Amino acid sequence: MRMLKRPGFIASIILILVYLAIGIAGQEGHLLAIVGNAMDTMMYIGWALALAVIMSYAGYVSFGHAVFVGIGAWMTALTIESIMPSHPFTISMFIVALLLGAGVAALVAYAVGWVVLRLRGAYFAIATIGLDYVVLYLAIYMLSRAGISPPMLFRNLNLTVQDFYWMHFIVFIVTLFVVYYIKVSRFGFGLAAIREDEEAAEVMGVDTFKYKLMAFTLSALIAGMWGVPLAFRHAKFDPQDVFSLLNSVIMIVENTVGGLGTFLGPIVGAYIYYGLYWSLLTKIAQASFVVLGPLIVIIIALVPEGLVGWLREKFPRLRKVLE
Amino acid sequence: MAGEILRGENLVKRFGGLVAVNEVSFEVKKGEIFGIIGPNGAGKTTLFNMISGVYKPDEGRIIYEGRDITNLKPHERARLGIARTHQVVKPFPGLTVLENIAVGALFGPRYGKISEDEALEIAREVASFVGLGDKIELPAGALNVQEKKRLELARALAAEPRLLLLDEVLAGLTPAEIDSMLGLLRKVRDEKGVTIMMVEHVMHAVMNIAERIMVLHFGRKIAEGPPEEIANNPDVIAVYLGDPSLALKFVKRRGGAS
Repeated sequence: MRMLKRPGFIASIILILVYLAIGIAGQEGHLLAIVGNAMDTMMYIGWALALAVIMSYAGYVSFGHAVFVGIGAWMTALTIESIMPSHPFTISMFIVALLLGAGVAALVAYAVGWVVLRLRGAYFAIATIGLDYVVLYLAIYMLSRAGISPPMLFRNLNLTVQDFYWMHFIVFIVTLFVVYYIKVSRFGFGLAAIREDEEAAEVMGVDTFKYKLMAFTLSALIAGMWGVPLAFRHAKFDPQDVFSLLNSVIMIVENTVGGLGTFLGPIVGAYIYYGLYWSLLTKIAQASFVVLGPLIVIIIALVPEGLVGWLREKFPRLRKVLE
Repeated sequence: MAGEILRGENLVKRFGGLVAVNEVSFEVKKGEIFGIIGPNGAGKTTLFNMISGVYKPDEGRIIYEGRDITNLKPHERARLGIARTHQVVKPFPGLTVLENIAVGALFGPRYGKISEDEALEIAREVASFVGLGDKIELPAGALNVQEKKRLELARALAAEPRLLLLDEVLAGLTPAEIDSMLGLLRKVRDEKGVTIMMVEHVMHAVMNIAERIMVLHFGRKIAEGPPEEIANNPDVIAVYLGDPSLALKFVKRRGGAS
């Protein structure tokens, strides 16, 4: 198959092998720090690729996309404390949380998308911010009704760093393949057409409304999955934290810095973002966001088409490689 | 005798107080080249938008291949084999020429029946058919106007339409480019049997290529018939051509240019 020979697929395989190696080597105690970084980067790539389906592929910026990560975390809390309250941790608990987190996120996106995807551009972006706040306060309300003041701490499941790592790894593999497959499929062609000119796409036979709705739903489904390993790792559900608008902004920044319309862009963007964030955090701690913000503004001002987009434009020969 | 492929019945489209298309009826026969002319604001593009589904008519019906398509969405009509180009070209600027054309193939009447690879293969063929064979890897945004018009045509053709709506594909082209585009259109009709409806401002060109012409003026149909008849119709001359001797010239060129 053509797909299997393409650079995006090969890049995915390489990433998976690298993270597999880190996971195996990370059994050694002194590598724990790297395992933590590796987990972080998997998550940031996952967030970026989740948003990419609607933002980078279809051209619709969802500004409150953290809401779906938050829903995933919330469903994990529900699984651990209400659905399987006295079970020790098993892989089935992780799978239940994953199905529930991804499923509910997708359902919410489908229902909301059905209404707001009739709007274009800015209205859609604003609608998802609204959704983020609605779900945030709903979560706080539900917790307080259950007599919990956030954050809600989970019972001790006796999980190790390795357990968290493999949870991230599983979701990472699914994300890479799903998001890559969307890009090269007919669906991906249709989304690209919508991004470039929605009216022309419709006239050429693309069912634009259905495609946008599918893209938004899938995008939310992937974001929802990422809330699950996050919640397990932090052993808590903190609405103010997971629904934070900052998380939504990070996803947008990753996509913008990396380059829109490509599969590799969001991945590169995630590494750039995380690299800057981490190196600043270790040096100047709390002040890091003060520096990070302007730094990102400068990057976007210098290469508005994103790093991958810039390379594609500058070196047309790379177009085939940097898909 | 070839039958009818498209029929408009008493089509009306209003924008606020303005009646852009006013009770227009017409019939297009299978395999013909049907021209639509009229001064600016006559309602030509609005009529096209109703046929392709971008606008819903306020009154009247559109019958395509014997089926009422008045309430179908644009993408549903595209899948029935209606393709169009736009007066103001609408390429997908960030996609390559090849990808642009492939979108046409993937989502036209063959939607769901061909793979992405096959679509790219078709796109390659269509690109050389319209003379863009050496530009397939370029982003569409990098093409010049003439090439963009060809790209629009290629995207529409890649769908293998049965009815092709061309909205001023000749506008802005040099005389030589017009001749080559007209040759291309004839080839499309003769080799692929595609019915063509074209809105055109370049008078001699449409007189040259169309078998029948409909004239719109302020949203109303004021004449319909073969080019010679249209050129000699006093109403048409009055509202559009202005000068009868100029009109006669158009008719004469018809003999020479083809």
